[in-house]
Amino acid sequence: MRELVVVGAGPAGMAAADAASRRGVAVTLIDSASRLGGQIYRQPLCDPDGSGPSRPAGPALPARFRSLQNLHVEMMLGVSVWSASRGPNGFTLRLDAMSGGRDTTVDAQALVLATGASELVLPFPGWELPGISTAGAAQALLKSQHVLVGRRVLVAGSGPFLLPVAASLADSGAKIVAVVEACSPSQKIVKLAHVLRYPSKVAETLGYVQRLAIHRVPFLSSSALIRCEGNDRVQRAVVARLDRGWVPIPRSERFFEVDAACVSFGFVPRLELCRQLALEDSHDGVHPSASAVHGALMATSVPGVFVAGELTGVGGAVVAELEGRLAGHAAASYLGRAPGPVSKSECEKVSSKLRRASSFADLLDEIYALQPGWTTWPTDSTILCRCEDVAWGTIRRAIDTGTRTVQAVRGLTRCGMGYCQGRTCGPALAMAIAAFTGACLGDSGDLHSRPVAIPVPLHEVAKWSNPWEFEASVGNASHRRDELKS
Amino acid sequence: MTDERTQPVAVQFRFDGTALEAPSELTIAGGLVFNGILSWRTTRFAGMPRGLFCGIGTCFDCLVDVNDCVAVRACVTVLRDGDVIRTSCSTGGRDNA
Repeated sequence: MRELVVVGAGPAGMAAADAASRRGVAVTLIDSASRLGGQIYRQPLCDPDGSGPSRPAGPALPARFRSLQNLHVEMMLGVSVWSASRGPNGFTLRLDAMSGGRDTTVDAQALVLATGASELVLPFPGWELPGISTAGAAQALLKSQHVLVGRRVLVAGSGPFLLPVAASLADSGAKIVAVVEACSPSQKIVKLAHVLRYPSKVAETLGYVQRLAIHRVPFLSSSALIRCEGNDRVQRAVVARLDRGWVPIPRSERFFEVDAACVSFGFVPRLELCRQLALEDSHDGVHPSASAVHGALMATSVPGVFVAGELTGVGGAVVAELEGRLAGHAAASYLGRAPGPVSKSECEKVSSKLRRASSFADLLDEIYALQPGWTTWPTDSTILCRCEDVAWGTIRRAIDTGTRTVQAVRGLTRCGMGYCQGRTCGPALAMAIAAFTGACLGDSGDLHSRPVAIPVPLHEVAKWSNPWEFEASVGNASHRRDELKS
Repeated sequence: MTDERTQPVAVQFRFDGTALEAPSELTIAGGLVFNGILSWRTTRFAGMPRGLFCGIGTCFDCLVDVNDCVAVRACVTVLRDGDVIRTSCSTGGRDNA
């Protein structure tokens, strides 16, 4: 039985491990990547069979996290957690080590879940063509491997992430034909004025704008990539101007010759382990996904389980790190380490910084709120479920017959039943149901409940000695969504 | 496609019978994109070509067959010298990089 297991080694998980271990807790830090840092501080690849990386790449891990090595934090890297369950004395995680060999389960008295987010891409005709990737994929390939996704690249979608991705691609020699942002800054002028209260963020944004200006990259706001064309790979991108609700304005199309397009509409929390442990989550009806419910010190509805980072609502690296620090302290207190005066004052300072960082994240949310007009971009033949080739028209017909929940559409159409288990199409499907039926987003369910969080070989599942336990975990993961269906 | 910085020693691998080279310390997806190859899977129903999409191991669009393993995620699997990579059209299998 381990004392505290932290799942996810991004800023939230690293901060939690650091804070808890400084209070004397024996911490185990697990991540599916072979290096610390998560997506934001992505490190060069490390071949699990070979030596370490021989060249510097990507942003260095901030010094405050490098001390994790000296704090006797047990690292389990290159290890994916595919199941989490509750037992009488604590929690059990089931692991799939990509390089094989190590423990297949770990038990813990307490957990910090910091599993982060995956990227949201809204569908449009041709979005499945090779050469079109998420903005995060382009960034990851560049940061950790120095490989460009293409030579002539369009960066499109919505949100603050588009600018750094376009800037780093341009700095590395790609021709960015345009950055296409669906939101309109001019319509959000009052909200933009509030951004001025965060000078460091303004400076960061101006830095990206300056880099894009040096490379003469056009920035098109109130516009969207509404179609891609090409013969087995993307060759042409069609961009249209949008009205306030994101419906394309007729005859406003512009055409770009490209060999790659990078798309991002923000991020969605990865709630699989939260659902398996039956942690309470909630949907605010605005964001594309539910997020984990937590108290001021990151405690969840299940005693001994704490959450931090994007699981609590996507807020970026600064919020994630502050939440992680609080979660680490809270877990230490839960495990009986009395908070000394130093940790008390640190928690107060962190909480105050977190309030400010969270209000900035909320402001960005308002500026970049998704508008339902995106549902006019796909045609009936546009693929929504990339794994199972389920077309938009099939989804529409299912909804037209009266189907009102994500689970029911999934059952009728196979949308979300493929390898990715609905991670890619699930949020778009939920938003489409809300848009077509007028229902409140969040009332139609989602595809976050997965008894097996990542695909694993059957022999891993077979190792589960007590089949009833497995069934109980499946029940935990799905019971609340079933209530919604009835 | 790569940037100007110096790349370390190359690894040699094959993709659908063609001999290719890429810098070391790339993923399989990185090595294929480096060589201008954008698709290495066909979908199970429509037979459409697919390649890199999410880049962080969540979407499973970039599945590829490598040596004796089928359906490996190219974006999170390290490319090794001598790898024999084939376009994946499997409908199931083990992602056991």
